[in-house]
Amino acid sequence: MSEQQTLEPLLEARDLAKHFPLKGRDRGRVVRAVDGVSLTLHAGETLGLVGESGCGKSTVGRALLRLIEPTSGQILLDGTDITGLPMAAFREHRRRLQIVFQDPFSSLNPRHRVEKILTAPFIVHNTVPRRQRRDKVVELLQRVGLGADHLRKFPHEFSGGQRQRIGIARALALNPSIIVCDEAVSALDVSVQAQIINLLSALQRELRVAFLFISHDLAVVEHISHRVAVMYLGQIVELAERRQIFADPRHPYTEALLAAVPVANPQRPRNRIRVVAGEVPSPINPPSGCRFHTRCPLADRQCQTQAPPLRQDTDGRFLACHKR
Amino acid sequence: MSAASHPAADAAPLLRVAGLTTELALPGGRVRAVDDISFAIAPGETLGVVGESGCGKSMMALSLLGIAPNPPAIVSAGTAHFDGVDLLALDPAGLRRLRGNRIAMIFQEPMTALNPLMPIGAQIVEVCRRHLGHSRAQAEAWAVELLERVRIPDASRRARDYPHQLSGGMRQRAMIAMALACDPVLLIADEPTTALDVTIQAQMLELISDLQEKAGMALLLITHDLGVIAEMADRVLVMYAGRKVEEAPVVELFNLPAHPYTDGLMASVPKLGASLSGTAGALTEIPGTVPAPHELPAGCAFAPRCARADERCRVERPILRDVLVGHETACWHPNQSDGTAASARTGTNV
Ligand SMILES: Nc1ncnc2c1ncn2[C@@H]1O[C@H](COP(=O)(O)OP(=O)(O)OP(=O)(O)O)[C@@H](O)[C@H]1O
Ligand SMILES: Nc1ncnc2c1ncn2[C@@H]1O[C@H](COP(=O)(O)OP(=O)(O)OP(=O)(O)O)[C@@H](O)[C@H]1O
Ligand code: SF4
Ligand SMILES: [Mg+2]
Ligand SMILES: [Mg+2]
Repeated sequence: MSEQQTLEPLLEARDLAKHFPLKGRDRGRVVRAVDGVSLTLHAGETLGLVGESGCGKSTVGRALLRLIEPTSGQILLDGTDITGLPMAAFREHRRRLQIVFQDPFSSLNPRHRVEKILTAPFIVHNTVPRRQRRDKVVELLQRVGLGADHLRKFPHEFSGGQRQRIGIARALALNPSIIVCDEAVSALDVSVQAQIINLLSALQRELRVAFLFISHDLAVVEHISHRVAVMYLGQIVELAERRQIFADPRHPYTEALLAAVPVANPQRPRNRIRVVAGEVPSPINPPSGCRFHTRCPLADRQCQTQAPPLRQDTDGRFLACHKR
Repeated sequence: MSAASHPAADAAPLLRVAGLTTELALPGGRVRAVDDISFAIAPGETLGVVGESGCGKSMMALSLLGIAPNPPAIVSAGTAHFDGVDLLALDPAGLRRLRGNRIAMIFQEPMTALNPLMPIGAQIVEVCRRHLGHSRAQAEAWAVELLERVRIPDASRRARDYPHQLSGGMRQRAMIAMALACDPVLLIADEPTTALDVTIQAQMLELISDLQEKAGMALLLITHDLGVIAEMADRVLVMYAGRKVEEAPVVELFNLPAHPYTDGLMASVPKLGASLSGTAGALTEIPGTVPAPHELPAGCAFAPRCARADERCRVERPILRDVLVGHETACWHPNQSDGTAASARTGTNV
């Protein structure tokens, strides 16, 4: 996507942070869920966001849509800072940013028929005249591979894959420029997962919509992404073109993550040295210096005390490591 | 390790299951969640079980252990000989003596196996005293050693922690420690690492392989993750809609899947590194979805989704037949050992 790199990004996060205040016994302390994340997203591009549970992926996604208000940092949509905008002014922009969740069932009103669910965005944003709404809904259903015969059904009458299609149709209703997919295919069976992944790719080709694709499944992220950002404890440690991440990972954490993925090839030698020790430390009290130093095979004194900045390497990738 | 090179592959089976059938008595009628499943596991061997959500993997494991939820589940047919004893004919007390002792099990969600009101060490001590007749001091020492074996740091202090005080990864390890307390000869693991991060999963898988190598423990490993299967299994059983559709040594299953469902399953999963070799086009889809147990077609359960289905497939249920030695499949038109489809190769015109 090097051609896109030269263009203005569609969306840009600058030093985004979200700290959740703790309650009760831990009052006064915060969870540093996202702690200084910068990234860009270009039109028609998929940026994968990976990292272990609790590293802050969903929080980044929600903060970009201002579903939660960032503690600090800026979000620029087409160059406009949308972080400080009052909600009324933000609503115009909000249309262009949509999200699809892991569990479409919990985000679809169980008492509403599909027609009503898919018409709601048109009413809220008053984008489609009343008389054209049904045609528009049928068109949306067709886009996601469902027939008009589904209009009168309730969410519980659909399979998991079909519900996810409806979640995607709803996200598409207002012609968004960006869709955050937060573990959007993670709960689906593999055969159905393939259907939804192919659907997302086709939609991107047709509509030039950009995806922030959040997933813990590295093979899926590799399949669908143009660029990939790797997060650890609230921060991006490496952000690069897909090929750079998967052929030549540079951050020791990216390396460890990739090495840990079981590969569906039984002829590969087993018992490779691939196990990174320990678990992810708490984001309430992250390690000093480089946050990965407690598990990193390359860590030395400098890593324990100085936080490595995210710098751009000669090959264009962004990397936060003293040793690489 | 391939089945052929496995030291135990030729040994007498430790567990031999034949015709296991579990029915569910549901409001709409009786359905078969597990339908005529047979397999065997040798000492030290790992049999992987794969299949889509709802195909009956957990129900099969629970049925073997006599703990399938009843109602609605009733084991209506089959035998499961473990070391000469038929588990399915054993009385509840006999099963309880085996479970957690010579046969251990671990589940996806550790909290279902751990008692939230008791420190983890005390729970292991209880198991050891009940099954091994240990004295308290003996059991306590063994509990700490087990926690050390599963690499819980500072084990003697951690033994006093309650489950909620441990991280997800440590809880999983505590559960494995408890499962291993009595040196089981067979471990039944149902999605043991699905809820874990990949780095923690890698630690767990390494731990389990280690223990298998040292103690010769056999493993029945249920997972939907083909990567985990490729890393761990000697042989693989593929289930679809309660039935066994294929069983093969792991390398053969990946290289020469015989059943169209297995074929589709393999092709629909994105593979790590595929983008580098330029093989990352559109994923192969298996059209449609798994039929619900009460709307199974008369013939092959996969027929409505199968590109090869013909009239016979729709009316006559395929029986299991060998495609190669030790490799069987239930399909009227399986891939042959040269990778071609039977009907294409013979030019059958139906
Ligand atoms: N509303 C909240 N209040 C307090 N802490 C929160 C809240 N939401 C998230 N967190 C914490 O912030 C951190 C990041 O959470 P987040 O959900 O963004 O992680 P994630 O990378 O999406 O993880 P997963 O892969 O499990 O979905 C975690 O430690 C989480 O417990
Ligand atoms: N308690 C229950 N009551 C009714 N039906 C059940 C019950 N438990 C399981 N089933 C049904 O039995 C069938 C087999 O379920 P089972 O849990 O064995 O599937 P599975 O292969 O383990 O799936 P997963 O991969 O989702 O764990 C499914 O159709 C399921 O809906
Ligand atoms: S028996 Fe027929 S329908 Fe079933 S998998 Fe084989 S070819 Fe397809
Ligand atoms: Mg999340
Ligand atoms: Mg299950």
